[in-house]
Parts: sequence; C-alpha cells; structure tokens
Amino acid sequence: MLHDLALTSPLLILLFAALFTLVVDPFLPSTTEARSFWGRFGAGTSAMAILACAMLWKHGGNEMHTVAFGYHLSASPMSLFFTALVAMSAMLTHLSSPKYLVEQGSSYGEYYALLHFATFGMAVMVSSESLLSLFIGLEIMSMSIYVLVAFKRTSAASVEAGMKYFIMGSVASAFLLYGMAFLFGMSGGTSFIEIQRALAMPKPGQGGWLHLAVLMTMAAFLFKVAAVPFHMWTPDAYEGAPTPITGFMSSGVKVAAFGAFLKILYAALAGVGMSELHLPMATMLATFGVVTMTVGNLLALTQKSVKRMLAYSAIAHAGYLLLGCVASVPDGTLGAPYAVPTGAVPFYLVGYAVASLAAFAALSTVGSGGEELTGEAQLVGMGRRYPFAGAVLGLAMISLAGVPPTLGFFGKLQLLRDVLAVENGKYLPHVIILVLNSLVSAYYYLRVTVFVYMRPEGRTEREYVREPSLTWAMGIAMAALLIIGMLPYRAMTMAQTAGAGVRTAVASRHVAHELPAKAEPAAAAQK
Amino acid sequence: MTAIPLGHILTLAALLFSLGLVGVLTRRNVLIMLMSVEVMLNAVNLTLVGFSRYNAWTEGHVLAFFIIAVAAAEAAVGLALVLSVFRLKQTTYIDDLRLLKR
Repeated sequence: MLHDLALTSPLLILLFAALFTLVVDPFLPSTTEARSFWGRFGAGTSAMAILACAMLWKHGGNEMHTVAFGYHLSASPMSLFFTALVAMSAMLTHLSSPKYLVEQGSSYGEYYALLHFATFGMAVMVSSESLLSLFIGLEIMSMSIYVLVAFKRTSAASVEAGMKYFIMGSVASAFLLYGMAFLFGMSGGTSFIEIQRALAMPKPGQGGWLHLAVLMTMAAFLFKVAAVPFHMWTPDAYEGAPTPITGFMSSGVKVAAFGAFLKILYAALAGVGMSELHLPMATMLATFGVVTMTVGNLLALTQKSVKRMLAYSAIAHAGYLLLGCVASVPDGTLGAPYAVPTGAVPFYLVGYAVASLAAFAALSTVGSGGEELTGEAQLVGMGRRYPFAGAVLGLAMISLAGVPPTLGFFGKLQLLRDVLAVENGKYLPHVIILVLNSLVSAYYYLRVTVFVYMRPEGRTEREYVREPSLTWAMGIAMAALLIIGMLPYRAMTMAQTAGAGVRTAVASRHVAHELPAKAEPAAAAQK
Repeated sequence: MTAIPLGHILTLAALLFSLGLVGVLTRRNVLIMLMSVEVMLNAVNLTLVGFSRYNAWTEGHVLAFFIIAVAAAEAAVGLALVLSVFRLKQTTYIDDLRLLKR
C-alpha cells in the first residue's frame, strides 16, 4: 500500500493541492490579491509534482515495481515523462493566470482548484494501465476543462465555447465508453495486458466486434487530440476560453491525450496489425495525420485573430504528431506485438507544449479591463512597448514554425527522421507532405512577428499587463525553448526512454504474475 | 427462469446508443441533447452489465457503477453550463449560440 502511494506521489501532490485550494480558499480575505496567491501556490505544487516525477525516474530502476493499485496505475518511464510534462504545463498556466483573471473580472479561487483537478486527471490518464483508470482520468480532466473554458461567466463567447465543447466532448466520451465496453466484452478484462492478449488471438466470430471497438476508441482519441474530421470544436473552444486556459488546452490536454493514445496503441492494441484482425492501424493513423495537418494549415492561413490561428495551428500539430505515432522500434511496425514508440512524439510534445504556453502567456499581456485583444492588428507596437513579451511571442512563433535553433526545429527533425526510418521509407510521401506543410505554416507564424515588430504604430498607445509571475512564466518558457533547443540531446534520450517505457508495466506483469483465472463462460451459463 | 440471450441485450444497447446519437445530432435544444447523451451512456452500461452477467465477470458491473457516477457529474456540469448560457442569452437552443462562428 505504501509502495503504491509512493509510486503515485506526483498524482497525489496534484490532488491534495486541488483539495487544499478548494477548502482553504473561502477563509482567505475576499480580495483579488488573496486569489492571486493561488497562482503562486499552484506553480509551487506543480513544481513539486515535477520533482517527485524526477525522483521516481531516477530511482525507478527496478522494472518489476512500477505498477500500483492492482495494475490500474503505473510509474513507468512513459507515465513519469508525460506526468512531468502536464505538470509543467500546469505550472506555467498557474503563473500566467492571476493578473489575466483580475483584468477580466473573474478572479476566483475555484479556477486554480479546477486547474489542479484537470492536471490530476491528465496525470491519471497518462499513468493508466487499465481502461477504468484511463476513463476516470479522462473524465476528471474533461469536466474540469469544460468549466474552465466557460469560466468567464459574464462573457457570452466564453460560456458559448464551454457549452459547445461540453456537448461534443460528452459525445466523444460516450463513443470511447462504447468502444471500451466491447473491448471489455471481448477480452473479459479492463487492463491493457488482458486486452492485448485477447486482441492478439481473437476467438472466431469476434473479428467484426473488435474492429468496431478499436475504431470507436480511436475516434474518441482523434476527437480529444483535435484531428480532422473531429476538429470542429477546436477553433470555437480555443477562441472563447480564457487565454491562459487556451494555452493549457493546447499544451496539457494535447500532451495527456497523446500520452494516453500511445498507451492504447502500443500497450492495449499491440498485435492488432499482426493478428487475424488485419486492421491497418499505422496506415490509418498516417492518413489521418496527413489530412489533419493539411486542413489545419490551410484554414490557419486566413485567420485574423491570433488566438483562432493558434487553434488551427494546434490542429496542424496534431496532424504531425499523429504521423509521428507510427514511428516505432525495433522493426518499425505499429501493431507488431513487441513494438514500442520512438522518442519522436514525446520529444515533439515538449517543444510544442512549451512554445504554445509561451505564445499564450505573451498573448495574455494584451487586453485589459474585461476586453481581450488578440487580433493581429492589435499586436502592432508590442515589440516596442513591451519588448520582452514581444520577444517571447516571436520566439514561440519561430519555434512553432520549426526554425533552428529553437526546440521546435529539433522536435520536427527527430519526428521526420523516425517516420522515415519506418519500413525503409514507407512513409516518404507523408513526410514530403509534412515538409510542404511546414513551409506553408511558416507564412502565418512569421506574419505574427511582422505585426509585432515591423508595422508602424497608430496613434493610440496600448497598455500591456505587466506582472512578476507572468514575467516568470514567459521567462521560464523562453529559457526552455532556447536552452533545450541548443542542447537537445539529453531531452531526446529521455524521450526515447519514455517511449520505450510504454510496455514496462505490461512486461512486468508477464513475468511477475499470471492473470487470475477467469470463470469459464460455460460454467456461468449453467446458473 | 429462461435467461435472456446476450445477443438481445447487445442489440437493445446498440439501438439505444444509435437513438441517443441521432438525438444529439438532430435535436437543437441543449437540454434534450444532454438527455440523449445520457441515453448513450446508459446503452454503454447495458452492454457492460450484459457482458458481465453472461460471463459471470465482476469488472463490468464495477465499470458500470463508475459510469453512472461520472454521468451524474457530467449532468451537473452540463446543467450548470445551460444555466449560465440561459442567464446571458435567455435561450437553450444551440442554434442561437453563434457568436464564435465565422
């Protein structure tokens, strides 16, 4: 029991931070300054969660002891890497929120509690080893995010965005659950290892049902990562949400969704490509990825609002990442029983999460007094009036476009290299389309820097929101982009370990325990 | 007592799920859409419980309980959202929410 608690300590820190915020907040003086305290508190607790992940990473050498709570959660390298990444997203969001909320007139303590709950849900998702914990984590995350999107109660756009996101999201969860119900019905268990065994050797007559189950589960994840054709909610939800939450959605939610997706693909659905099911999962993913990146980039070209443009860019990046999901070792076949993902997706997610958090932190400095000014034309003069925020926004755009020496460049480089290595360049056409897409995306990313730096200012002088913790958020993000961008090898190695760790828990179960014997269906039917 | 075959349960659940999906896609009143989502979740419950009863597994029953709890929480969040939309717009129709469509 104590062992379980130690393994899940990052999750517990996040959970207790949420509960503490919720319980203590009513007793603080009802001033906005008192609420802003929770931003710094949240950043501190998220940093503690990252530290706990680092310690578990360092001391978690023994592979047999990474699973906790009866194979529902694990502290495998992959879980720890992704948990640290979502905690990092939460930390920067906590730092960039307080002043923004005060300016928008909705500074309440519940915001920070919900942010913690959402992070906890994400951490459960990426640490899950069974469908049950995956589903619970997903729902904790989603429900907190629905509320956070609609958090500006007096803003029609915010509430509308929350409503739309909620309806689409709950339909997606229903699909996930229906898929999970059939996966359960075919395999008789909820843990990934049991599902993997059942999928590898389907009983006669199960093929069609398993196809249905896998496709429904995949559809739900395509929705969560905002992939075409399930991307409709993204621009609306991103534009209406409070700016720091938009940053959190494009970093934390995406990281958690891809982390859980990799687990599903490589731990639960491993062997689907090789068994009698013949489900061409890798081809499907690559196709969805190419379509998603093209649609996202083309729609982003015409956007006037930077926030909405970044929403379409989030769709495009989901496309790159979906293509990255097919990159696997040792023989590069997703769906082979012992394949593990390369470090491409985890490493790319680091770069993408940090860059989008930097961009949205810089965007929350614009606009005050209940107004949000995130149109391109409204960024004019930012480079002169608030040089630091302008520089952070510019650097984030350069990193998202994938220009060296930023982190975004190395992320894309490794992704391309790993996808090309699959089956001797089977995905060469996809990679060429990805490169062309990157060229297109450079146009709209660099256009933002043109507005920030090169357009002549009008007569009106804009006021920018300046605040120490927001400056810290921007500073940390900028430092990460540059430092990891210049010295990427350590992070790359860690991402590789994380990718290889996807099956640690599954493998340990093979060795350590045999599954408890299930009651035979025939015996049950006699009752 | 003659047992109900598994196929019947699964067919009923599939029908309920499709009914819920059609409801979400065609109805424009947010409250009815929420009800339709609940129907979809209950279809999932029925599937799980059906599989579990037929095979004498317990995990499906547990999962169904979790889904019931989550569905209740989801309804609470959904109704709160409907309320805050109604406060600002005096409407519960999804077509009247078009501020963000461009």
